[in-house]
Amino acid sequence: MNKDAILATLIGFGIGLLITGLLLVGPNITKSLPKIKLPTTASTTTPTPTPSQFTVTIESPLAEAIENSTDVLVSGVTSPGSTVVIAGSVDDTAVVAQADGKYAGKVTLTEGKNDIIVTSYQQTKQASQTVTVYYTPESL
Amino acid sequence: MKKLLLIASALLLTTSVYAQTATSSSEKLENLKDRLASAATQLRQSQKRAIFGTVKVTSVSTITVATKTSDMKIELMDTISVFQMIKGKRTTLTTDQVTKGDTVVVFGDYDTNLDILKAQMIFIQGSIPERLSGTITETSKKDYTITLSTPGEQSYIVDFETMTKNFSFTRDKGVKKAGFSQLIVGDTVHVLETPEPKIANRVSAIRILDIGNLTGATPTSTATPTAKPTVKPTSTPAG
Repeated sequence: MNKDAILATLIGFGIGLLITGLLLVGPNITKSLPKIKLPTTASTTTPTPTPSQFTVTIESPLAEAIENSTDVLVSGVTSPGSTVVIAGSVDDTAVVAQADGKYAGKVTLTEGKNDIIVTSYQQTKQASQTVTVYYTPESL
Repeated sequence: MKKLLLIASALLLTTSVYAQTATSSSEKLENLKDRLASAATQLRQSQKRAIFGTVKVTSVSTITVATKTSDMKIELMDTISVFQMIKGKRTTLTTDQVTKGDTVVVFGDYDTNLDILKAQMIFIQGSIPERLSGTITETSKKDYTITLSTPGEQSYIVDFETMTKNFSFTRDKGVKKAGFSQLIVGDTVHVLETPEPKIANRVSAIRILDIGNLTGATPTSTATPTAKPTVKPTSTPAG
């Protein structure tokens, strides 16, 4: 074995030992080090609350869904306490949105295309959204 | 020295075991990914779908339906069934009875590769009742009509027919049956209706849902346009 090979082995072994040592002793060293405090930048600008828009969303049923039952549960989110009208092809219902803004109500579907219109009212404000679903009693 | 050698060998062993484990778990992950991708592709290639539109072209094995966005080619499968509501009864028809101009809903498997819907069922849809909502600006007990003002500032006369179903909603009682007299100026109503042919802005109510006066304000009745006789200026003889 020549000198260079022995030297390279020794260097490699040394580096290996160093890494092992760091892995074993490192965590203890970091604990004993003094904590450096980074200068904090105090923000002077206070966030201004943006007025939330009055909206209504339909979470269920999904758009273009194929339903195999005449009754469908329509649910979603709007402003808490709003009066929500769920209008289907055959009938309609009205509910009051809960404290978290969630609402749900059942409407009856007719065979074929059904446009379900959800309108939310809160005093003078009004928001509306439509979802189209299809119903067939046939098994596809 | 022994301790050092022990640590070094332990490190070597751990690294190799970790590498081996990582390789096998990544292989498993790749395999799972492939299977998921394959299943997703299969689903994408053939998925249950329904389309609504008007029949544009018909042939023995295919029809073309014009939807709101584009024209779609429909392949008529051997097992296809065709239905239509005739006089309130669900009637079975044949594909020959599907004609140009029919409003249909086609249910089937959509092939994304071929961009074709393999139809399993066609439902010939009749006229769909329309929806109207707004605030009552006027009621007429004599004619059994209410005048509605929509959010778009349009005025409609709604005929309250003998078959019209009227419901009212209150926060404490929910939805209850109601009569014509409970429709009050200022109330917000949702009407399921059919337009009166030949008379603009006049509809026949199928169902009314009155959700009450939400704002507390009473709107002033808007004057409905009436045909007035026009007075032609007559030339007065000079002199």
